[in-house]
Order: sequence, then C-alpha cells, then structure tokens
Amino acid sequence: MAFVRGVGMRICMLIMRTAFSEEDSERLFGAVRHVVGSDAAIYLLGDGVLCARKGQKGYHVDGIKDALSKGAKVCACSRDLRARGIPSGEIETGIEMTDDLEGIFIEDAMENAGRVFTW
Amino acid sequence: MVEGRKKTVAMMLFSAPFSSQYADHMCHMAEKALEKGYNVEIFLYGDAVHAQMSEQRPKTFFPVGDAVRRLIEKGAAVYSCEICSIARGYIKGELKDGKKDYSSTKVIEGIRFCSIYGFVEMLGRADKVLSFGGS
Repeated sequence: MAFVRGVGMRICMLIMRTAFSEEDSERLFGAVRHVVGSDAAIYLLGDGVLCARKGQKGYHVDGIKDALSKGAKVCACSRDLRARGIPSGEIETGIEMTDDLEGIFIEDAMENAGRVFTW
Repeated sequence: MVEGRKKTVAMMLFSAPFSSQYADHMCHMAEKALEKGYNVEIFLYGDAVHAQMSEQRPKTFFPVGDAVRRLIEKGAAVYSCEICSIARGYIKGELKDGKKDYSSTKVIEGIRFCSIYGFVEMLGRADKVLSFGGS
C-alpha cells in the first residue's frame, strides 16, 4: 500500500515514544510500515531511540526495518542513545545517528515535507 | 532556511514539564527553529501550562522554565490556554475595566493568554505544526 506518493508529499515523522510501552504503537508503526522509500524520513528522539535497537522482535520494530528496506531515511539522536546506554554497535543497520537531530528534523520538516507527524 | 518569506512553525505542548521529556524536546526544537531563522509560535494546553510557572527550580531535570524564558527573549510567541491557566490558578481571567485580567505573579514574563480560538488562529498562521505529548 502506498502511504505517500508524488512530488511535495514527503512525510517526516518525529517519534518520541517507545515501541512497546503505549497502546497506540499499532497506529504509529502501522503508519511507519506504509511509508514509501525516499519520500519518507523518520526521526527518533528521546525514548523514540529505543526503536533503533536491533534484535527486537514484533510488529512494531518491524516497521522501522520495513521503512529502511524501502529506502526511507531513519535518523536517531545520538545524545539520547548515549543517555540510555545504547552503543552504536547495537543500532539497526542503516539508521543514521546525529547529535543535531532537532536541527536536521526542523529543516527537513519546514523545507521538504508535505506532511509532518509527531508521536 | 531557504531565502524568501520567513516560515512559521507552530508547536503544541500537551504534557506537563518534569513528568516526561516532551517539554524538553519542544524547547530544544523551538530553540533550533529560531536559530535557523523560522518564526516560532507555541501553545501550552492542559497540564502543559505548568511550563509557564515562574521560579521553577528543578535540581536535576532540564530547566523548562529557563528555556521558555529564553525562547521568549529570542522572539518566540508563547501562548497559554486561558481556561487551563484559570483552572490551575495562574490567572483570574475575569473582566476588569472591560478587559480580561491576565495579571499574575506566578507566570514567566512574556507569556500570552488566549482561548482555544486563538489556538486555531495560530494554526492558520503556521506553515507546519508539531505536537508534543498527550496521548
């Protein structure tokens, strides 16, 4: 299913929640699973970085892997990874890490995105 | 920022400071948006109005009050829901000389109060809207 199509319909998602702690995870990761390739960017901030850890099982984290496999950009805040004791070696392959997640997100959201979701 | 009209980002905060990181994330994001030359408008709703409290003195948490004050100094427009603020004792909001009384010693200087209709107007001015917290 195509969630986003066409020029100017880039979707930016800012995820600040864990994959497993809240009941709306199906809504959140259901949407993530249907983003299309380079038209999408997913930014993981705060507790959202817990979605970046590899080796997790289940529908929720599969959403991140699906998005990566379709070419979406997935970016995690390295400050928040360090704060939670998650070394870079434990991050899903393909996820970018940056100390300036807010700066990269806000510029992408303001200049490139057709839709912005925050969760 | 791309040259041309200055774009506006609206940020809505629904969660109280010090109960989650949403207020911290919003403050960092707003600061970064201002640095990049965007207009920033913020709306505090529900328990998020506690972010406007003056004299916050967290010992270990991110100092949300200081961050809000700094954002106002840098040009962010910070609006607070008047009904939420009246309910939590920050303002009276009663009519005084034909105008609503928003005077308060409990609120950071520069906070503006408006109803939910003011919030809708804010959405109309925004190029993008980001929400933080809530469920």
